[in-house]
Amino acid sequence: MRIKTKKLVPFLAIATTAAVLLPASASAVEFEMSGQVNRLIMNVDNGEEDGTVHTDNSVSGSRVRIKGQGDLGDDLTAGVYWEYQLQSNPSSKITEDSLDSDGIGGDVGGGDDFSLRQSNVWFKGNFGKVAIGQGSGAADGSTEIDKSGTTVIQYVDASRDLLGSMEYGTSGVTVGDARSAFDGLGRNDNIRYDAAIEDFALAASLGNGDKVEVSARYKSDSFEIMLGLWDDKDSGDDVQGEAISASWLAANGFNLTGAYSGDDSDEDPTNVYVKAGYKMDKDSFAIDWSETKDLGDGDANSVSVAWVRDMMQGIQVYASYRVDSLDDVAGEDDITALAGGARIKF
Amino acid sequence: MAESKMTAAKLKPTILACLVMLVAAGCSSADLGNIDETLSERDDMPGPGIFADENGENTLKWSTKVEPSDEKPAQAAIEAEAATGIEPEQSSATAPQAAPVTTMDDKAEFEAFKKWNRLRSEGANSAEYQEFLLWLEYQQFKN
Repeated sequence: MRIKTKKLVPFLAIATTAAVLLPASASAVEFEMSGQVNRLIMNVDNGEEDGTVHTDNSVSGSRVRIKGQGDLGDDLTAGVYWEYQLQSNPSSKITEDSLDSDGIGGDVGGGDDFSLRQSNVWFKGNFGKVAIGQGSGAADGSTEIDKSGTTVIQYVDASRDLLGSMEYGTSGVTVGDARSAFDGLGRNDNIRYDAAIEDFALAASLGNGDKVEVSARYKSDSFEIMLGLWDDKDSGDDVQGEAISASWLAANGFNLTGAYSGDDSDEDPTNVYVKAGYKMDKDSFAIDWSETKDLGDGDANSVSVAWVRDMMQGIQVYASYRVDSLDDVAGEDDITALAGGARIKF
Repeated sequence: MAESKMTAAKLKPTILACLVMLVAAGCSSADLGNIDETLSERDDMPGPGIFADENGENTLKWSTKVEPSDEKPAQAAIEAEAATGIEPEQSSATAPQAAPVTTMDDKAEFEAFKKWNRLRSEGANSAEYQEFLLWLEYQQFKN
């Protein structure tokens, strides 16, 4: 035993005390509330209109969550997970009209957006974990493995989250029409099973309309990779998709991230993503590029640079500049966005 | 789509292989419940929020637990008190703190040592001693 004998002695009284008190706490149910507010100021120019908007950063929207869990004995734990997102002027819904008005819908409050993200109950034991309710499908997040430290403003699906409703010039095509990360089937009502051994994990979920998702993941401090497969069956057009993403963080802070995904709908669209970054004690910098092909009219790509600073416990500030482009569509123009914001966790 | 189908063809065997490994581990009674439930940095900033206390614990936490302070102390607690001369803490939230025992004088520490030694040699299977071993494991994990 590595602990020295001298250290064992004080532990005796503590251990005895714990032995007495633990049975009393075995029936305890603990709840924890947390959440965040994530606000963004963004100057946008789509070639036709330009202006500055105050938005809620849809990359990671303002939200509140409650988690609770209780020990059922026999190594069995049960819990609940509930999360609600509350946004004013979500960045994903900003349009050209929002640039010179009171916001989305033209009125203060017109752009308020509320959505339930998580509402599920779960049981965990040596067999793994089973959850039922609304939550992430097993393949959700399979394109989002990213150790850069800049994900609050820059990640594989940031184009849609920041500029999803903006039109490329006068093309009639929005960023949301032309871009996708093909990240599984997102959050849905399902039953999900998770199991893990050491650094490996596997998940499978079955949702309404027989939609099915599976994923496999490896995670260590310096490297992480995730694979996902899904089929929306009767809930959609029986579209099958697949995704892989990986990220590596070197000891000196240099990091590389990549993702590839697609599905077999219509023109068999795909998305590719690459990112290089440098992470220091409090600051992270990164540059990324991505391209979605065959999703809508024309292929679309984006390039961005980002900076994120962890100011102190629970407070981040960040900035980015990005250019989103569309090819081969009449009237198209680049969309540029200079953004700065702050996220505070409570 | 050729690219896409090729990717799927490569991914499916990989995931099936992982499934087989996990099922095999499950059949050998391995613990499959050690699941990393950390949210991604995009979804949730790492670490506690701005209301965390000086220990880094989230203060927005509550419990349905009934505090055992008005319960009759268990026999083991009485014995521990007799052996160490130290009254056990009455809250599980403060129980893991080593402060009370670090102030023991030599005599009390020696009494505690004797009790530990007796438990080790005579009661290795007792709940008390097993709890003690678990506490040691927790200390190693924490450090």
